[in-house]
Amino acid sequence: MYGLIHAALRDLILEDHGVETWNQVVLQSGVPSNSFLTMRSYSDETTMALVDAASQVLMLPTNDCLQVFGHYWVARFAPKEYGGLLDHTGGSLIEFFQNLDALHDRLSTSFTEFKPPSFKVKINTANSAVIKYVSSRKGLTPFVIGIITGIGERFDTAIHIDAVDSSNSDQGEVSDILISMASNG
Amino acid sequence: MDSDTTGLLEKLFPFTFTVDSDLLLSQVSPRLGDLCPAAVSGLDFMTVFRCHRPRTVSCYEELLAAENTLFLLISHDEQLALKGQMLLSADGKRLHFAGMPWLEWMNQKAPQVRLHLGDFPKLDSQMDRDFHLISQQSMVNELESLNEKLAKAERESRDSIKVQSELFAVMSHEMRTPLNGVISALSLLSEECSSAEREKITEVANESANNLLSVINYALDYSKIDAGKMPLQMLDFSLTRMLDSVIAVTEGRAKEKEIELSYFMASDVQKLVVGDEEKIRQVLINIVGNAIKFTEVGAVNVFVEQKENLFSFIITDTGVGIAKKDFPKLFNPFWGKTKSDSETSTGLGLNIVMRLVELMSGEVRFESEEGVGTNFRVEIPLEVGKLDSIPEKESAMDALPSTFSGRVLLVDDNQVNLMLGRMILENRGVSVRTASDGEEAVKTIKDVSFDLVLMDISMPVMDGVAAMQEINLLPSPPPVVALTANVGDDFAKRYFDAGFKGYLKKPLEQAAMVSELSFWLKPSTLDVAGAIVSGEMLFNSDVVEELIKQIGNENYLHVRSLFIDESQSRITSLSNAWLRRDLEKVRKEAHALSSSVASFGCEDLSWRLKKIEAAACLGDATEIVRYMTDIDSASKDALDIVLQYGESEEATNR
Repeated sequence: MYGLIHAALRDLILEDHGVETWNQVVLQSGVPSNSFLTMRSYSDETTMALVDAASQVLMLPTNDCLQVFGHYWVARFAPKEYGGLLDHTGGSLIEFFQNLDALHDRLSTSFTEFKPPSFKVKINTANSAVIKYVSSRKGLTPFVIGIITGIGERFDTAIHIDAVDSSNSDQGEVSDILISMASNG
Repeated sequence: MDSDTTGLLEKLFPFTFTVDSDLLLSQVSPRLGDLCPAAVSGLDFMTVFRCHRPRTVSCYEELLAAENTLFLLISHDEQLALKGQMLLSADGKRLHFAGMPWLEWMNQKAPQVRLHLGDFPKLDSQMDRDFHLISQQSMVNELESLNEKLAKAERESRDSIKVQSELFAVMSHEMRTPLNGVISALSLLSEECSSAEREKITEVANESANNLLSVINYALDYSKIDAGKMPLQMLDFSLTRMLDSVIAVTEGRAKEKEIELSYFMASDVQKLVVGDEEKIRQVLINIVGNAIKFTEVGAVNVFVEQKENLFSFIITDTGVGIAKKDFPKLFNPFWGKTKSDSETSTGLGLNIVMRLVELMSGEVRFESEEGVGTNFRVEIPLEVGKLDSIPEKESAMDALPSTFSGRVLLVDDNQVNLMLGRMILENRGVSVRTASDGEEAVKTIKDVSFDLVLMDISMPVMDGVAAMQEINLLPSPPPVVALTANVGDDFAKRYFDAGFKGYLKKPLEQAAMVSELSFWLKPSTLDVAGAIVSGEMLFNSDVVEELIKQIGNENYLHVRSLFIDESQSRITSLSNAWLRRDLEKVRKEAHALSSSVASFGCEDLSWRLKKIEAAACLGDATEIVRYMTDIDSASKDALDIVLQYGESEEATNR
């Protein structure tokens, strides 16, 4: 993954838990201190070592940790530097997920090592939809759930995750995430 | 252009419309209608858009003429700008516009208009360029942030090196000065020196050596605090006992200057607390020592208060005070050291005080008025102790005993340390045996009972820890106290955990040693009356028996008679020499007597005479007075016993 993700994890822990906790995470992960250049691609093992270490230091299950991270990524980190991109991606939660693949298409032209997941939206009712997540990586569905709730906040929409149906294969992970939505306004 | 073609065009370009020869609009695409409500079929093209490029268009023919050029259109409400191209329809009567948002213009002039990814053709590179620029900007931000961090680290490193270099330079100077003092003083010592000169030279050497030790300790403390290697050692301790020790260390100087020194503890202060006793003690000794140094008349007092878990130690003096201009420099290392006091002060104390107090999450403040005095206030958070096993001792004002009765085994592989240790302990009235390693110590303890063992740690054959553990397995083992040069903070805890009952640092500090001895040994009963106790036997009959065995009873009686006469004569000679303050004569008589009385089993008298000899050699009049005061009665008692023992032997033989 790109160092951007590592930098986001770093900022999350620095902002919410302080520098000593972050130093513990880095120490525990064994990840070198030069693994945080945002536009450089690092191995997925490096990323997961950081996530596992954060999970141990914060004493949170890995899935909870990933979910918190996904929420932070889209609600607090990306808007700081990439607010314009998020604005272009959609004006509502559904529109956002409908355009997310297009955003990733665009990003792939700049970031040649980028291996983005795919999102498809199937609208059930005005307040219910299924987001299909397909990734060549495994185990990141909790991260996506954090992203979905974070995007909901962006559009002032309360999201409830009604069901998650995940399957793994050699090709990666596929999850159908059933959500219900309610406008906070 | 037929409808199929128009449909295809709309899939490729989200913003399309048609304009006829009257410049009227038609076939406006839905997204164009959303973002530009004025673009309604039937309206004049020129009333909806102005042409930024080409700039000269005012009629249909001019539009047609520009068919193959780039069109940049801006809506009159300034909410939408499009870039695209005009294409002539198949029948040649209309122009079709196919375009997309002009992103640069939109970003600059109408950033509030929210464009979506779907507003751009898939192959349009405007969006890609925009993403790229955002990424580039992000990288620039990151680089600037890293550069800033690097520059800060470089500044800090440079500052740190400068501070370290300056400190090193000053420290080197501070070490050389007292070392020169020691070397010069020792080079001046010679047989030709008078007693008074020797006394002065020894005093200078002693003070210089102590200053050198202070600088070395400071360097060690400084580097340990800097490296974060001075962890707090949080143990239960008695405040009273700690304060007693502070007073015991500093009262000598106060007495010399006839300054009152005392401490007062508020009645509601918890006496048993949990904290780093050694560091608090070091802080207080430094401040109290300083207060005494700068006070010529009056008093130095320590007040202790407690508010919840915050303990305040307030040290007040009636000294010279501190000039206001010097307030900011007070805690700087080596500040306050002037030429006039270069031999008695290192100027390091308050810097270490501040560092130690901060290490304990405390605070040190002061207020001072020149000519009136200074108040230091040290506030340290301490937990209230839970253990009730630490025996409380009497307050400092009830001084610790100066001499003790008991047998101490001193274990050290260094012969000089053994000799010095023996001298120090014997000065305190203790009977001392020595051993050179742990194995010898264990063997000795199996044969002879002791009240206390002072055990070095690093020794050949068997080290101190192993020896202590073997001793502790013996029935009724004596307490074993670690005696070591290891000054790391975690060592004390390690020794206690290993099974030692106490911990004394080398070189021995009188106050700490007296405190330790007073804990394990009884005060000498004779000491209470002010007399001297050697801890040796008054008379050892085994020595006389051995002598009789070697030379026979008849010879013994003859020699004994000579011995009594000569001893009495020499005692008189010794007293007279002392009256004349003829120290050389005193030394010679004491030396001769101590040897001969030892041969007749008078161990206590021999010990006193050796003390007199040593004191005469050093020109230490105070010590000579101490042992000469009752030398007549002591020698009479000893000689009477020798005489009586002999007489009873004669009676037995008869």
